Amino acid sequence: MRLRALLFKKPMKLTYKDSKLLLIAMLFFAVSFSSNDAFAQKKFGDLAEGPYDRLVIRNAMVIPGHGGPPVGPYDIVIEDDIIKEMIPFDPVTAERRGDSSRPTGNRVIDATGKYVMPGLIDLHGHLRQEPMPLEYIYYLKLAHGVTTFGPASDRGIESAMRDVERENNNEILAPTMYPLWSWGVGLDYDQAFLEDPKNAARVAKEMVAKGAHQVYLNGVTWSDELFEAAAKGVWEAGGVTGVHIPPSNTAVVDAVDAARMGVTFILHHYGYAESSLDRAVQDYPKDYNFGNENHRFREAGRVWQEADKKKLLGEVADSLAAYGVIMQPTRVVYEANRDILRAQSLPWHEKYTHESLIQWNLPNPAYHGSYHYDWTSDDEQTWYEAYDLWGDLIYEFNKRGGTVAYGTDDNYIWATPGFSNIRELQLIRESGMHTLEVLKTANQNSAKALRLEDKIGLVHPGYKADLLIIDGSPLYNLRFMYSFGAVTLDENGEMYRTKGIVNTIKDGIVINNSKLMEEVAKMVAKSKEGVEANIADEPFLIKD
Amino acid sequence: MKLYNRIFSTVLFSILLLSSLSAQKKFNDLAEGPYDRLVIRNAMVIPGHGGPPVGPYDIVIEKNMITEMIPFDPVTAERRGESNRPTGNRVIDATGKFVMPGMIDLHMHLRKEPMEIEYVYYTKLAHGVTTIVPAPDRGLDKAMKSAEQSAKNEILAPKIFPIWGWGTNTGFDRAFIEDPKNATKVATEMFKKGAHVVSVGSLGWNQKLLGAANKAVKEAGGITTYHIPPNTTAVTNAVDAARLGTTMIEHHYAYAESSLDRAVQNYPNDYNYNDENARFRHAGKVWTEANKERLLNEVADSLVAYGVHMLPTRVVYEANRDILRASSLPWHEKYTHQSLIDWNLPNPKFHGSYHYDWTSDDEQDWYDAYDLWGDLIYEFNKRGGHVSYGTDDNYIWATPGFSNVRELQLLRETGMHTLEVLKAATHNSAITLRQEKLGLVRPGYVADLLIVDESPLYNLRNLYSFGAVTVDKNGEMYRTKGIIHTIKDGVVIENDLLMKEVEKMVKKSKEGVDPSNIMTSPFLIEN
Repeated sequence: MRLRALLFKKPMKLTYKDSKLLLIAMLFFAVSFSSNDAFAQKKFGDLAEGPYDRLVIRNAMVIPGHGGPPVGPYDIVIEDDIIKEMIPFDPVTAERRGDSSRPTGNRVIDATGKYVMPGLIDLHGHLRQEPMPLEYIYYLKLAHGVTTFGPASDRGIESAMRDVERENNNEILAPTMYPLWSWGVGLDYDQAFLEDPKNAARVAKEMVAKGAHQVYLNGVTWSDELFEAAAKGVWEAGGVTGVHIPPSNTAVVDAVDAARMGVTFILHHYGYAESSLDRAVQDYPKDYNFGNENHRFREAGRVWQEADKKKLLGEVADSLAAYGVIMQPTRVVYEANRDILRAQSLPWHEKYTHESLIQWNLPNPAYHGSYHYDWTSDDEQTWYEAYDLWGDLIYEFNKRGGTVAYGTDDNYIWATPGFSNIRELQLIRESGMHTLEVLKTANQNSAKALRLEDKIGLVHPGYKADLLIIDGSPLYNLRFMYSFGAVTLDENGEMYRTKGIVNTIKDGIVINNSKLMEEVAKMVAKSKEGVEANIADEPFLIKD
Repeated sequence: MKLYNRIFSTVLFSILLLSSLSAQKKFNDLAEGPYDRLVIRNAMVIPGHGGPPVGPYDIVIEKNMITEMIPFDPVTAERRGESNRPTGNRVIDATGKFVMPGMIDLHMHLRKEPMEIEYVYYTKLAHGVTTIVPAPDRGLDKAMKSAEQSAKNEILAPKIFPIWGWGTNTGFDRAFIEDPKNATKVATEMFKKGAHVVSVGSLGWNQKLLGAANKAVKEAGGITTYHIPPNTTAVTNAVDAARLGTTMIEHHYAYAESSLDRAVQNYPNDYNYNDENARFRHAGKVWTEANKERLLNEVADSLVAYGVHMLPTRVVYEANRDILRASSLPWHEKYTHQSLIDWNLPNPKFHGSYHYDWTSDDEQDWYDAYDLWGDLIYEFNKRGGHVSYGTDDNYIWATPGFSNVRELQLLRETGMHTLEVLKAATHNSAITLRQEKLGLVRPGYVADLLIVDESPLYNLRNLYSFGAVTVDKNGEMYRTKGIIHTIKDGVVIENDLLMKEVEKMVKKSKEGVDPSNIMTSPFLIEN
């Protein structure tokens, strides 16, 4: 199969490694007609196999990814990394067709009673630093259904782009990645040149030529002229722009401004409440310091209390929808702000949260995102209310036809990668959107945010075979998507746990998710060797 | 014979000596008192009626009563021209600490053996509860005996006012009890035997009977408490219950129903009230059917006008909106008794263990329900309605004591001010219980007090036995110490020692228990 891909799909992009593979593959081909699969299949040990010349997922209920209801069962035929055919086997269609023979292939997966939906597209997450292995993140993401991922380039853009390539070549088991590029990163221009709006088109073009696709404009929010030129430049070069509007610059660019100036998507919760204020700044306390993270996050919640609700849910929602900006809420990463006990005692921390992450999450004035060293019940209350109003805004925006997309910003603030992907779905659901709309945010809508809506994000012939095979319907219970499933009853009223996403299929590669989680547990066990009590868990440890 | 007498009298003398000592040493190291004169020195005071912190005060307590509060703020001290500090048999330095009234938990459960009753009492006391209204899960006689023992300080427990079902222990037959004409006789008989809090939960099918019972109990000097079950809201909803003179309505039931156009909610056709999964699922869903506008106006207005009290007990239903949170709270391993864990785990056979098929949509319905229920509480309080405090804990992952602090946060969630929230748990609940000398820090009031390490107003989580993380003046992190002493009837309790006892009981309860169950199994590390 690999051979076919190389010969017919990407003939102009043969790397050294590819040509080496090609050579080996041809050798195999010469020896045996059937052994080409064997080569591709064993690359990831028992973690994954494929892609296949012809893979069939048999008898699956399908959640298409565009908000439509479940439909099926279908036999889904995948060739290489593309969905080729979907043959319906519901009684009515089967009877009409008059042909009940099931398609077959190099591998057939029986998905009777299971649900197939498109892989999740997580537009924003973090890679953090060593000693947390990158595989820890990739495996958790894949096992929780993420097939496309926008990582912040915490380990440098070169490192991120190297993994993009390795993933493209199927050398590593990871989601397809579109790393975040800050404005001007990777170019040799000085600050003055980069910050001159006249040069924006050129800067954008050169960045995109170097592989940038998601460009972040956080750093240029101090100048609306530059912001607008950069957003336009990137779009024209074929990329997309995102912005985390920092409270330090909302006096210049608020959410409606950012939308008007053409940014593709707005991340997080910032800049919305500010758009509804009569004045351009929030009523900061006199001793506010943006550089003090406790202040920063406390006041970022409080600004929602200052918001003019009527204006926010009317005029502001209208403007955002009219300008066509996309919302990417990433609600899961701020949930600790409304309930710190919950965040710290999530059940997977011991077995699945890497100790590096625990150490970074623990309150610490010296780390980013670790500002819960004096977090009060009033702070939690403020954020509880902020979620409520923010949720109302998301609901009103979606209701008006606005596009809501999906990201987690995880690997910060007690949001453990993968696990937080499922919680994010629940937190979008919390806004009042229907579960089908929620799943759409992570599929078709996020594909649209990446300008890839004709390639990914749907279960549809011609689309990429980025698919999830789920034990039970995520529509019935979103928690069925956790790697540990959820408790439910069988036909006899006996309790059991569902199995989560049994297989994530990425580029036609069938991943054995339970095996991935075993690898994750091993990495985490190693990371916790010799670890001692900390300020969060100390009161609850049993001393023998 | 002589010798025998001498031995006898020596033994008798020793017993007498021991018993006089025992006023102080009865509870070993766990508690001491009451004292002839106890002084809490230099404390900031949160009075309990909603007023702001004030102080510092030296609080003088004689036996079980607050007798004096001497202000030592610079202005008053200067005016008084007298800077002597009062003294007594014991002086507790409360510099930098906050004193507030003990909390009154108007609804909770004792559950059964093998969970030690002390487990419940100690977790409650250590989290600031000085008065409880327990459902007498272990039998009414036992509960009444404990109430008496606690009143005499023979056991270390909060004051206890057990819940009596209508007609309990009267010897009358059902027909007699259910005849509204006999209500006064029934109430009189119950009160003769010590009843004070009477549950009218089973009378919702008959408005006449409910009204008569409420009236009779009130006239006898007691109060009625009402969990309006969804199976009788077609007869009696929350506004009906209020109109018929109920003292307090427990939980969330029957409010949304009061706003419907028709008298029943839109149950699915296969609904069975005795299927607990269905019962709790649809108890959440009814809020999505509610007429919001009517609920937050007409219904709130009527409830206030009829003078009923609300007893939300939000903490016991929180699992419904977030089951993962509930089952993984950080104290379960060290402080949640194994009996509770076993009862909490999903199981179609146990009451309150209905999370065996609990979906994200169920959680969402309950999230929405909390939101609207919170709005109703807020509107009720805003109109002058009386919000009180209870937990209903020892059910559904609500661990006693811990849930008392969380309940405060969940009342705060409605938008009420933290001072109003504390008022609900103190002054308001004392009024509900018709105990006029409880619920305030004030001379003439009972010395049921909490000495809190740091202000609960700044952070309600400072009331947890494990405190909360904060930073000192140098920016260094530390954990506050929770409620250092709970004082009940003048008895000063060492809360950290109570929690050690709790820890021991829990440890014993978990001996030989397989840590793997349907909730924990995915997260256990296999060695």
